[in-house]
Amino acid sequence: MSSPMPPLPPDFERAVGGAIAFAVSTVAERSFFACVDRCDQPDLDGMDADWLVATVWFEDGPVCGSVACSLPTDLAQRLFDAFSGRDPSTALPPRHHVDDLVGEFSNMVCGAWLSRCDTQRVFRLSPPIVRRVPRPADESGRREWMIVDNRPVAIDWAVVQAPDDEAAAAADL
Amino acid sequence: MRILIVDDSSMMRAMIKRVVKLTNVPVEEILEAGDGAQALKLLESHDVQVLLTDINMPVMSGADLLRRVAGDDRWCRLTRVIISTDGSEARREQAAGLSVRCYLQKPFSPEVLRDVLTDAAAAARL
Amino acid sequence: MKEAISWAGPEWVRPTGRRVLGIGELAVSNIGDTVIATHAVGSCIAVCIFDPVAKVAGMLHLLLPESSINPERAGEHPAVFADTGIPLLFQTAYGYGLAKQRAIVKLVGGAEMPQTPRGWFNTGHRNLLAARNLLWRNGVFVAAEDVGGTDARTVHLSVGTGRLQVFSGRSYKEL
Repeated sequence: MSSPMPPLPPDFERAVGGAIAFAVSTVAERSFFACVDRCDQPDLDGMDADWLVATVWFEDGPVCGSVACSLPTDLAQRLFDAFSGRDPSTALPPRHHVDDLVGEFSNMVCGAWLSRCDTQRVFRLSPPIVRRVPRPADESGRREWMIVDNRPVAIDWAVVQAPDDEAAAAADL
Repeated sequence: MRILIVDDSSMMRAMIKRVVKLTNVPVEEILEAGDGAQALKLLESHDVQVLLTDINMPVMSGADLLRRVAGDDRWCRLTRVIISTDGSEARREQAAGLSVRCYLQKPFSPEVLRDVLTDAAAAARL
Repeated sequence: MKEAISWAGPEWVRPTGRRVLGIGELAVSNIGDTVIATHAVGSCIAVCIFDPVAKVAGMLHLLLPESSINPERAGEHPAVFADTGIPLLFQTAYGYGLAKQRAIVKLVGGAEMPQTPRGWFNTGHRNLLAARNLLWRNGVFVAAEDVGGTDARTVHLSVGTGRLQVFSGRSYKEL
């Protein structure tokens, strides 16, 4: 099935930075009771924790993209405790539970961001893919830095709108 | 009352389950599924009164699950709640046509989920 | 039923029917005609609890979110911090017959005060998030709240009825 798609709002990409920050704040505060501030590039030297990167892809025919949230593992554990209500003095949860939680964090940030930017499109979101890395990859696209509970979080995002002929092919998938 | 929680995130299911247990509604059993297909199997084998489902899931989405439920008289009295990151007007309009009682957008506070559960439980008892 | 009032603060004062808390203090009472009050709730949070069956009420006036910034102070004055004060409030109330599953919990405060010293940015918001976090961790829902803004509040909690009155420079409400 193919049908004409409405164009993206003209200031979509210019407004993304603010919308990303709003999405992270909303998610972190409401479901994780975490305080959020925006920041410029933080100094990561001296941080010896590993990082968790959770990537979610989205698409709605010709419009597609991704959101990847990178956060240090100690913050991931803290967010896990806040979300689940775990008493920090009890035994640590299995690693895959924390990975799942970071994936859900990224899922919620992506959903909150897209819902704010365009309420007329119905985006499909992929299940999050979560990886552990020594530190966030060097910036290759668009990135927003946030401070969540005094720890740095990187949000990498990408949006692509395909030309009309590719849009028709994509809609048939 | 039997509740079915459908979400591909095990941690989200655990959080919802915790709120259910803390909320003052009489629950006999809490069932869980990681996608719409698993949920359908549970609906066919158990007498469920309240369905809480995410939308974006692998194998079978929550939207497809709700379409299947809406099209089957066996589940005409099932109270349906969507819990999803998708807050688009288009998706909410879709939901309205599938007899969804409540659309709860993630992220949400525990208190908001409690209120949704209390309302769903009251509707299920009618 | 034991009649008493517990007081966690720098001084013990003989009960006279109206108990006024200072910052970093808490009180619990089962004396029916007592009012627990606190003033100048700016960026602080007043955590108010009430059990309508046991007729027990308590209030905590906390100043800061986490005790890890000053463990020594937390040891001496646990009511200053959310993560030590809230558990202490509940533990004290349990001694008077409050049951967690019946407890009605309300939050007041968390304002951003214009005259807040530099370095305390967003303290009201952080206090509020810390209080909510602690309550969720302990399986307690918040029944109502009057939070945010830029005005300090005065809070009165009636022990016998659980009636909670909130006064600020511009308004009055019952929560």
